[in-house]
Parts: sequence; C-alpha cells; structure tokens
Amino acid sequence: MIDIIRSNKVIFLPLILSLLFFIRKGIQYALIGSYIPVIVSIIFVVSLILTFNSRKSTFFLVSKIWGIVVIIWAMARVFISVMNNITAVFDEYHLSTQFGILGLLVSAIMVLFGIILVKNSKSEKIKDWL
Amino acid sequence: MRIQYILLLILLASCSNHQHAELVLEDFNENETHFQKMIIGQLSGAKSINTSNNEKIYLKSRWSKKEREISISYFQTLIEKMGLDPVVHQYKLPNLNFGIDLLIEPLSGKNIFTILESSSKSDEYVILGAHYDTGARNVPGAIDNGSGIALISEVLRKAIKITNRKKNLIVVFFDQEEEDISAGSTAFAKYLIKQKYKVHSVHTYDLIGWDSDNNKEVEIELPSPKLEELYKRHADTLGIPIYVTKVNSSDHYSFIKKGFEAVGISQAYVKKDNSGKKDTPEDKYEIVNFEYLASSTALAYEVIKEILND
Repeated sequence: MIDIIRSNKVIFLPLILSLLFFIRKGIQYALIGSYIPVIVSIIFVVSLILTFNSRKSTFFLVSKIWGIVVIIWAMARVFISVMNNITAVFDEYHLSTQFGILGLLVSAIMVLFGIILVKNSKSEKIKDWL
Repeated sequence: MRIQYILLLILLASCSNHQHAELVLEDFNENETHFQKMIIGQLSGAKSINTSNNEKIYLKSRWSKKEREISISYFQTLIEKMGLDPVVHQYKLPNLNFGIDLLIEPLSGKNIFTILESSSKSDEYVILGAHYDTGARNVPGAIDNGSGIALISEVLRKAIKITNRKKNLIVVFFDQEEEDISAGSTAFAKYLIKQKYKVHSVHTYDLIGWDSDNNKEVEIELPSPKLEELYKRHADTLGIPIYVTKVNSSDHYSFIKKGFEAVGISQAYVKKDNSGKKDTPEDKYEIVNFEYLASSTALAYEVIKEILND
C-alpha cells in the first residue's frame, strides 16, 4: 500500500491531505457536540480503505466522488469569500475572518485538490497497482 | 544552519509579539457617574486606555479578535482593581446548523467573569451579565453594550460593600452576543450546567443608555413571574416605568432555553425609544444618557441587593 501511495503522489497527496483536513474538522466538531462533519469524513475514509485492495473501480469511484464533494465545498467557500471581499457582506467577525484572504487561499487549494482527484481517478493512471 | 537561525528569529519575534504591556486604570472615583463614564469612555474609544509602557490605546470597536483581547485585559484589570479574581472562560461552539459546520470553523471566544462570594456560606449563585462585543467594524458600541457593562460593573462595586450577602454573585462579561446564536452566553449557560452551579436567577443587561423622553422607562424581557414581580416592585418604589416584552434576541434567552430563571433588561427598545445608531459608527460616548444609566443602575442594584440579602 505504501509503495503504491509513494509512486502515485499526484493522486494520493491531494486525497490524503484533503481527507486529513476534513478529519481534523470532524474531530474538532465532535469534541463540541456536532457530529455530521466527522460522520462525513468517516464515510469516505472507510469506503476508500475498504475498496483500496479489493475493488479498484469502486476505489476510483469513491475518490472521484470525494473530489467532486471537495470541489463543491471549496467553490461555495470561494463564492462567499469573493462576495465578502467585494461587499463586506458579513458584519460578524467570526464569518468575516473565515471568508477573508486566508480563507480564500485555503478554498483555492482545495479546489485544486478536487480537480486533481477528479481528473486522475482512473485505474490506468495508477502505477504499481497490485 | 541558516534555516535554524531563521526559525529561531521567527520564534523570538512571535514571542515578543505576545508580550502585552499591562493596562493601567485610574483609581476609581466613589462617584458612580464618573466610574461609568470612565468605563464607557475607554471601551468606546472616547478616552484612552493606558498601559504600563505609557502607551495609549483607543479602541475603535470591540469587534476584531485583537480588540476583544484588549477588552478582556481591560476587564481583568477592572476586576483585580476591585480586589476580586477574574476568570477567563474560553469556549468553542458549533454554528447554527450542521451545514454551516461543514463549511466553516466553530465559533470561539472568551467570556470573563468574577465571583463575589457570599458573606455566609452558600451554594446559590446570582448571575449578572452583559455582552462586551460590538456588532460591526468601527462601531464604538457606547450604548450597545458599553452601557450594560458600566451598569453591571457599578452594581458589582456596590455589592462588594453589602455586608450580609447570603448568596454568591457572578458578574460576567459575555463575548459574541452579536453573532447569530449569542455564542458567549450560550457557552456560559452550558458551563454553569457542567459545573453544577446552583443558580438562583440570571439577569442580563443590553442597550441601557438611551432615553429620549427622559421617562426612565426600562423593558424587562421574558421575565419569570417571580422576577417580574421583583423588578416591578422596585421600579415602582424608584418611580421607574416598566414594560414587559417578549424579546428573545439577546443573552437572557440563552439561559431561558437551558431552563434557568432569567430576564433581560434594556431601554425602551420595543417602544422605539432608541437612538437608531445601534451597530453604526455613531454609537458614541457622546450619545449616552448617563442620568438614565444611573436610574437603571439603581433599579438593578436594588433587585440584586434584595436577592443577595434574601
């Protein structure tokens, strides 16, 4: 598994980083009593782990769906960030800071991750697949 | 090696950024209005907050994280100067719904409170609170809610002098009332439950500095029958008109939702005796009606005194 991941960084790096981002978010929310973010993360992580060795086509399907989810999530944030930076729509500091320049940068990186996942989630692009 | 030096420099720079100079407050004058003018003036940027390094800080608002950190330091100094111990209550809360949770980070902030212990041993607590954050950028928030802060600070100052307090008094300055779920008070209500405090009642003050018709009227929001009777009786004695409303958009409602006996107190908000300058840069020190604030403080003090003595 490690060898496959090492020789296919293009797909596994954005996959692992985006999953880690949402797992961190999920744990953070679970600790304060909101469980949906951690449930969403677990569903994808478990699906990817279960299909990694047994069903290649399902693994690619799940990673593609994850890529699409990440793109939708990030595009929604990009849209809100752009609106906020143009019109300063949020009076609340909590929202305003999260949709500031740094928030926009995080969202842009996640869009990139999502696109890489969607474009590369094909079996023929994976080297040394057992 | 070069990288190590650079990292060391960054570390040192970040350490120096976290060294805040201590705030220095002038000695409190016995005069109530002077005290309340000092608090509202300094919290709304009309007067400077001085530091031990002889710097002068003028708060434009209490909106950003940095401005709220300065406010917290201000309250710490204020509480310590009264001879009490400040406690910072840091919290994180989910957003309004899970959809927002998926999109953004949790709400996080800091309340600050102090406990004035009863003269004789008691496990009962009376909570007196007001929020300190402002609703938008560059909003001085003199009335919203410098007035509430000044009111509860003065009640605390007077309560210290009551010799036979039979209950404990917690005075708390809430963060993030202006966020969608009154986050600071919601978190504090949860904290009281978690810590198993036996709470007699909760009284929160918001917008208590405007009275254009000079009739001294106050509104009490969603009071329990017991608290309604108490406020009405003391208001009657002081010649203050009182009006009961169903307003649920401030800190008191965070406690009512959790089953506490609570009430919110404000100027004649529902009856439209408002400045119209809430959440604007015009919510300044100059528009605060200090006579009205004094009469409302007298009402609050009489109510709290009776509860503490009972």
